[in-house]
Amino acid sequence: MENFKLDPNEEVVLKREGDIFWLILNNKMNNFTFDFVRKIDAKLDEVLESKGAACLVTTSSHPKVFSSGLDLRFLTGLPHRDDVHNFLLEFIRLLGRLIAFPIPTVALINGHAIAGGFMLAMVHDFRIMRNDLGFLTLNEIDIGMTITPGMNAVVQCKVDPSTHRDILLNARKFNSKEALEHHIVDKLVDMKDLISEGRKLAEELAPKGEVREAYGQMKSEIYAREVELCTNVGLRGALKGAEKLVSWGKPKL
Amino acid sequence: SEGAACLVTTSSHPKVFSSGLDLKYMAGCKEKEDVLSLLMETHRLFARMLTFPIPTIALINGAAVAGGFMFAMAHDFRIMRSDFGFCQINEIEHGLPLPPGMNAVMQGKLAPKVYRDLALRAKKFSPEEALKVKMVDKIVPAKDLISEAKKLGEELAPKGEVREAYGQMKTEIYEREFHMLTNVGLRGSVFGAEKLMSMGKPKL
Repeated sequence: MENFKLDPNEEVVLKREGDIFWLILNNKMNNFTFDFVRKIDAKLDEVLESKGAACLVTTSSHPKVFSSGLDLRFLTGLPHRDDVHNFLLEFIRLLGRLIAFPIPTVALINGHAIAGGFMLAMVHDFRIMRNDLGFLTLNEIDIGMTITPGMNAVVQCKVDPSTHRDILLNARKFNSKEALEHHIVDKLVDMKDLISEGRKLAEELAPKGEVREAYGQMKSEIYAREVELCTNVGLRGALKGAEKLVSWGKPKL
Repeated sequence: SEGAACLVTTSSHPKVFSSGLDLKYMAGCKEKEDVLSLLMETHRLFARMLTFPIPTIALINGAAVAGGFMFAMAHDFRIMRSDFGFCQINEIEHGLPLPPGMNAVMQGKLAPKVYRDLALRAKKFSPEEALKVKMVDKIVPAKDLISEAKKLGEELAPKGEVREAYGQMKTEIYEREFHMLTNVGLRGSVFGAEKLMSMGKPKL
């Protein structure tokens, strides 16, 4: 990314520009592992050490991918099914934290946002997407996977019922135009303008985050159900699907 | 009364439907608890209106802001003046939170993106915008407001014939909103009371 000098070894980069906190996912296709989730969480802690007007803008340094979701090789390599439960719950808690984050948040979708990557985009308040490349999809059903309560809720709450049915039950792939039509994203821009459009929106939104207590409480009410499902409810019916993940990695004898 | 009926609510002010809670009154409250009581009683009014067992129409004759907008949303239908007025929730601009019940009564009737813009951006919706996003059902010039309301009211009134049915139906549709308005209290929004009390005070 021309605008930011990124250390290739820093997987999650936080850069402050006035009231804007740029959160740049800088880890190839930004697949989630324990480590990656915790690095993002630590950056969110850092953002909250600030006071006053602020806006979080999240994007990725990969030329074609926002995030392609949970790292399946990592997941299927975990030694015990409890590790899989723990990891899924930790990722879901991150989703719950972001959906109610007490300052305005914008996701700049610079490419494909798949499964967990799509969820990450959805837990932001606003989404701007590049108009020429990338699709959004939840492909769980295509690989016979279940969906956890929290993961379902954070997507469902932001789209209308028929769109959500297409997203989840049909694993529909939305290109940028379709994403805009279905109100999954708010705006499409040329790739060269993605950062500047993000900056423009963030500067407009940041003052709304001045009184963190109010903005955070408002989001906690709007997304009360989603936060509840991300933090207090566990995996419910998705437990079996999660356990299936453990057997995937095992060599066939 | 018994049988078919429809309630139409409007305002006599030339430019305002309602601008919400009375700030001067709250500034005059001696205790924070009095403000909290007002909030809770307003919630109960909204809950009652939301599940009122006959059809209800809000005739939005001008600006509907904060609690005034919420009151309009607690009605089944909304007809808005086309040439003047706007809908807005401006709490976030004053650093105020939204209590659970007030959040619910609006969120339950609006698309996610619309509600996000309304609450988190304090967006002002003009009559055309409100119509486009289905925040209101129809927009008409001021001179036609009353006659349009009469027309819709006469069409809806028979639906309220069996009060028990209409009331039960609304209680089911708005179960969550009613619960948030009547059983859940103010939760994390209590800190807003102090801010509300200070807002109505004259600046020195």
